[in-house]
Amino acid sequence: MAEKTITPFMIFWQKFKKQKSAMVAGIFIFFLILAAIFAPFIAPYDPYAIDYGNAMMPPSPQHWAGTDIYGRDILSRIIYGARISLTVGISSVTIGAIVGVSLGLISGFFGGFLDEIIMRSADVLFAFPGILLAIAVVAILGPGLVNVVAAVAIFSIPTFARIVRSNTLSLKESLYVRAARSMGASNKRIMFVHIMPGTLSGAIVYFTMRIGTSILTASSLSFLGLGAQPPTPEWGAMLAESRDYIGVADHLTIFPGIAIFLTVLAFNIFGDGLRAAFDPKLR
Amino acid sequence: MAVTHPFMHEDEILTIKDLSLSFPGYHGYTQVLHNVSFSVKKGETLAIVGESGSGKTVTMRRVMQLLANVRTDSGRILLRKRDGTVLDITNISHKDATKIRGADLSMIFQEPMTSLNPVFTIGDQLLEAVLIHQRISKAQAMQKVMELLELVRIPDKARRVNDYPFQLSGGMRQRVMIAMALACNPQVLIADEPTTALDVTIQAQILALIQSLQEKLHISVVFITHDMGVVAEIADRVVVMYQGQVVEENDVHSVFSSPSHPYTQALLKAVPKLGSMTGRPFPATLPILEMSKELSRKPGDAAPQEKTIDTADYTKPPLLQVRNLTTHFIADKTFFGRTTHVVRAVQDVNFDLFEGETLGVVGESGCGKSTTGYSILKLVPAQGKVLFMGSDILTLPDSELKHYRRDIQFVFQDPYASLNPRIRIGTAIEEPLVIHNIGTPEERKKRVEYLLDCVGIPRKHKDRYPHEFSGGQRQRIAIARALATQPKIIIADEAVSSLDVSIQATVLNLMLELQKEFKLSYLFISHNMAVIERVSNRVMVMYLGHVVESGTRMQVFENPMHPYTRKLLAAIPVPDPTRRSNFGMLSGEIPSTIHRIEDATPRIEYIEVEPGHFVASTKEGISFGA
Repeated sequence: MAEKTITPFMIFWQKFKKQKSAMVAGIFIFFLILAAIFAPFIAPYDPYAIDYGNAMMPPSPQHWAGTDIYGRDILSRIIYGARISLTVGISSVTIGAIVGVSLGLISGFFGGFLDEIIMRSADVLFAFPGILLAIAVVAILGPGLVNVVAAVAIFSIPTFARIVRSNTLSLKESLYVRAARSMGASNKRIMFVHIMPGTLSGAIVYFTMRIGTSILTASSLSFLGLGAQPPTPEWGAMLAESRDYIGVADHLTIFPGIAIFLTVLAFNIFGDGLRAAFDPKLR
Repeated sequence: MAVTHPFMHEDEILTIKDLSLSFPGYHGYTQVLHNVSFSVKKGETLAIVGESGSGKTVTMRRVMQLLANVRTDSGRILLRKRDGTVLDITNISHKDATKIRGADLSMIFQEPMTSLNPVFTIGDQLLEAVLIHQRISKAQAMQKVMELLELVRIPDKARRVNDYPFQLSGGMRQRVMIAMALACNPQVLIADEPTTALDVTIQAQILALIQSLQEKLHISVVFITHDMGVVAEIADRVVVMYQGQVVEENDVHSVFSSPSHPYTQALLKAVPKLGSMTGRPFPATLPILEMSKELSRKPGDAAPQEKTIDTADYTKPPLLQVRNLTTHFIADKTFFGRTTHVVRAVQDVNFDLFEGETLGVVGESGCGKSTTGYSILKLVPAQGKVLFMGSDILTLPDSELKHYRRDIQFVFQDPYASLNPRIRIGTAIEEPLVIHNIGTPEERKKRVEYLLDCVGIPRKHKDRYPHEFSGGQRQRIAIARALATQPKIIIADEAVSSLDVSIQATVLNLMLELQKEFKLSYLFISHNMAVIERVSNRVMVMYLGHVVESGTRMQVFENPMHPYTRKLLAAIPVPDPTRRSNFGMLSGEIPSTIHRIEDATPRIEYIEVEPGHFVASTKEGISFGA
């Protein structure tokens, strides 16, 4: 036995390190987050500055990704757009995860009537296609980014609840939970000290992958005019503004499209890597 | 005609010479086998005995070419074919290996539950095994299947052949596995712990079967086991392995009467032998130290002595009185939720537990011994009365139950599952103190260190996680945790059953010494009669949820009255080759405890054959299969 204590995190890290593509995705996400935080220092131009004299310029040394129909610098808008997309993606999934994990834990631990109500409500939410549900929520609450966050959060809840519930059900029967019970541990203690940490690995994997999907959904809603409103530099909204110029000035749509594509892909690959690292069967 | 070979005698079928193997790990390759050499002779039973990690299974799997990802560092494996030619099978192709498997070498595994494919009938699976190696018509093959089922003595074979594996009991499945291994008339049958997962009475039947098959078919048997009793029962020769090396190879009588290697000597001392306590009223520790200390002990040093544990105090009223304890589980319901069938896991169990005494509860799987333990702590819903120092635990509200859970602690069978893998062991040991609000954080820290000292785990390891410890160490941690609240009673549910014998011996000794130090009472639940004999003051034998016999250890073990107790005692392999049992008398399966809800519960009358020795009357409606 080595002298140094091997924590479960070290074992996780050992396995995660071997996932090369997930490491690359992780580095990409890291720089994306940095770019979002330091957008005012990185962006070469003001994303809102209109310059009709330079409208729809193709990529050039001055404007690496060209300019849009109002002559705004597309690269700057994409960098600022990362702020919006990441904020919407992470905050909506965080809200969905907190609610979903709590409901799943309660549902799995107590079972019975409570379980029935929570799981049947989840089934109802599952029955709607995600984007349709989001459109419905935004239609009720009105357009705007905050409402998009709410919409995306709501339809993240049932999956988190199901993942955590199924893990709770199996951990509830585990010997160490029975051991804790035999020592006289309270329900609260068993739930939060012994069961919840064990359910989180599944939730974390889904959390990461869900951020990608949420960014896509938020962009779609903005594309439809239900999310971020012009002139906000949001990737989906940028696509919507430029869709009439496909074939005329392709860089208007290609660069925001690539931004969405790479970001969603990175979160999915990163999530896959986490899943592999958490999987006890893979060594 | 036999061909001579420089490495192989004429009477040898399989020879392993200087075999070294390495497994890949985090830091490159780790060597697991070190120059292993031994031979299997024609028609003999060779037992390979060793503890987990000794390399016994790895060696035979390498012979069968069943290992992927290993590096063979040196060595040769030679097989003598039926025509007498010697074949080097060290590095044969996958295709050639397939030809040898089944036809020359055949292997059966520990888990009969997982070795059979659940979606095919056993007939189909046997048929496949026959047809792979023999070009015969399906009808002929089917006839051969029936012959095989007859050979392994499966009753009612015409019906059983169409059964799926889940319809058969563990013992029957192991018989099917043996039939499958014999399908192509192998020269060598390799049995890897084939009876470890089975109950003793079933184990005895399988051992008897393997013995009779060997005589009938003139095959060689390689029997891999950790159980010295099984070795003494069936082996002609023994290979003892320890840490990837063969430390001793000899005929069975020499190994048991005059073991040459210190490891074998220590191993034999570590095994609780049934009958070794005859005539002694009190439990005693085993005369053994930890294996590392045993191996480094010099010839002149004094051997450890048995310590008698005489803490039982029968002058005070009993600590725990259990009256008519009954636990039923729902087995089947109608569509509308009305229960139609129940499992009578525990039925009208009565006993007392006194201060400082150990009450052994013994029985086979499904007899209700573990459920009895769970019921006492209300971990499963139970009826009856459990009086702890006068008050009934079962009727207490949860808020008051907590106080009693401080005085009665549990040690579970599986130390890998009973410790939360995400919690550092120091925190785990402290947990009961936190739950019961005992002491300040400083005092608790001191107590944890003291408890670690008690169970022999270095204090500095308290920030480690369970996965960094071996099974025996984890069980010590679990015991430390159970002791944290200074309980009066510890319910030990198969607490040493999953441990290797040498570890089992040190953990048993630890438990007995702690009993002496803290005047603990143990409810010691085990399927192992020899362990129960070693540790108990009084014994309770359970069968199908009922207590069939109870009394002091001397009464039950030296004068067993109930036929089931006798059967159980007869089925235990004794680690002494001069005392081989006659397993021929044993037959029958363990019946189910599932009953229709309207079935009358049998009232069992007990006869007091001598003071304190109670035996269930056998005239009642339950069959004891003896």
